[in-house]
Amino acid sequence: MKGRRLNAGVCIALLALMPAAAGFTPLSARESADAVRLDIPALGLSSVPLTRLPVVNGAWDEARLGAHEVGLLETTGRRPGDDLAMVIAGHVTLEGDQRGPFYGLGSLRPGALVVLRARDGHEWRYRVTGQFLLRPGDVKSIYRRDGRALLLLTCAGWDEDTWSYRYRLLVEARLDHEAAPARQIARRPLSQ
Amino acid sequence: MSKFKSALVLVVTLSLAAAVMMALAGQPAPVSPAMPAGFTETPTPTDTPTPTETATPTDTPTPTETPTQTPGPTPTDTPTPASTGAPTAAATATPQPILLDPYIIKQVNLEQAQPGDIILFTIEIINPNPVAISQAIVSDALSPLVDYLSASVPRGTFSFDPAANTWTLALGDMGPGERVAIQITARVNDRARPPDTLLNTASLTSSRGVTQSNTTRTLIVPGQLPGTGRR
Repeated sequence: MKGRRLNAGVCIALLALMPAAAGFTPLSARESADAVRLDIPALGLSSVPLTRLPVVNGAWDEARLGAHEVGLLETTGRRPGDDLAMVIAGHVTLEGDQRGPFYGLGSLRPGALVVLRARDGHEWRYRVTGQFLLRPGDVKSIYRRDGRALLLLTCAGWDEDTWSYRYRLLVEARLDHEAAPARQIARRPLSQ
Repeated sequence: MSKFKSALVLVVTLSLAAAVMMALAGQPAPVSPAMPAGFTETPTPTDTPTPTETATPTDTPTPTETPTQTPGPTPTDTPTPASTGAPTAAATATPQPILLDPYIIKQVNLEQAQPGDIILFTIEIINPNPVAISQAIVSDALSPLVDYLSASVPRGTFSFDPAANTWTLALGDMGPGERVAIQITARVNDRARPPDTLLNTASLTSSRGVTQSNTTRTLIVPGQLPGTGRR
C-alpha cells in the first residue's frame, strides 16, 4: 500500500515534469511571451497596448477597441512565428475628429520600424515592406501563410456621402530581428 | 658366437614385435632406442606389416566435405543434397508480395471561406500495390456547414445521401498502381459562422481494410474587415 502511494506520488511528479522535459511551454509562460505592446517610432507611437479583437456574432467586435489601443484580430496569427501572419487593427480617427493610434499609418515608408513587445521583455522588430488598399469585403487578403509577416490595418478613404470609410489600408512589415529577454541572475557573495 | 646370434635374433624379434604393435596402434614405428647402433637398417621386415595401410580407409572419408549433414557411412553422397536442398525449396515457393494500404488524400481549395462560397474538395485514391485490391468504396460525410452540389468521378457507382450529407463511390476493383481522382463541389451554407472551422475527412474501405484520409480544414471568416474609423 505504501509502495503504491509512493508510485502514485512519483507518477504525479513525473507528469509535472513532463511538459518541461518534452519542450512544451506551460500556457502561462506562453501568454507572458505574447506581444502586448506596440511601438512605431515614425508615428510617435510608444508602448501602445495590444488587445485581442474577438469575433462576435460573425464579425470582429471593433466596438471593443479603445481609442488608445490596437487590437489583434482573432482567427489571424496569435503570435510571431505562427502559421498565419498577425493582423493588428487600430483606429485612424475617432469621434470629434480626434486622431486614432493608426492615424498616419499610410505615411510609413519601406524600412520603417515596427516593434512588438511581450510582457516578459521579448521583442520583435519588423520593417515595413509595403502597403495596400483593400475593400472592406477583402477579408481573405489578410490571411497570409507567413508567420514572419505583420499586417497593420486601419480605415482609409473617407466618403462624405456614406459617412464612412470606403477602404482599408493594410501595411505589411516583416520580422527583421528578435530579441529574447535578458536573464536576471541573482548573485550572492562567494563567501556564503 | 651362437649365443650372440641368438641374442641378436631375440633383439630383432622383440623390436619387430614392438614395431608391429606400434603400427597396429596407428603410429609410425619409431626407431627403437634399444637397438644398437649400426643395426637399424637390417630389420627391413618392418615395412611388411601392412596393417598400418589397411587402417588408412578410416582417414579417407574426408569429413570436411560432409557439412554437418549425416557424417555416416556414405560421405560422398551427402554433401550435394545438403548444399542444394534449401535453394531448390525456396525457388519453387511463389513469393508473396508485401501489400500496402491504399492511399487516400483529401485537399480543399479554400483555407478561409465565408457563407455562400463554393468549395472544392479533391480526393485522390491510389493503390500502390503490384496487385489489385477489391471492393474499394470511398465515402465522405460532409460537414453540416456545407451543402453538396455536384461530383466528378472517373468511374464507379456514385450516390449521395442528403439525409446524412454523405456521398459514396463504389469503385470495385482497383488495378495495380491505379489512381482515381474525385472532385466534390459544395457550398458553404448559412449555418457556418465565423470563427467556425469546417473539417472534413474521407475514408476508403477495401479488401485491405479501412483507410482514413487526412482532415481538411477551412476557417470560416467574417464577411467584412473591421471598421476602424469614426467621426
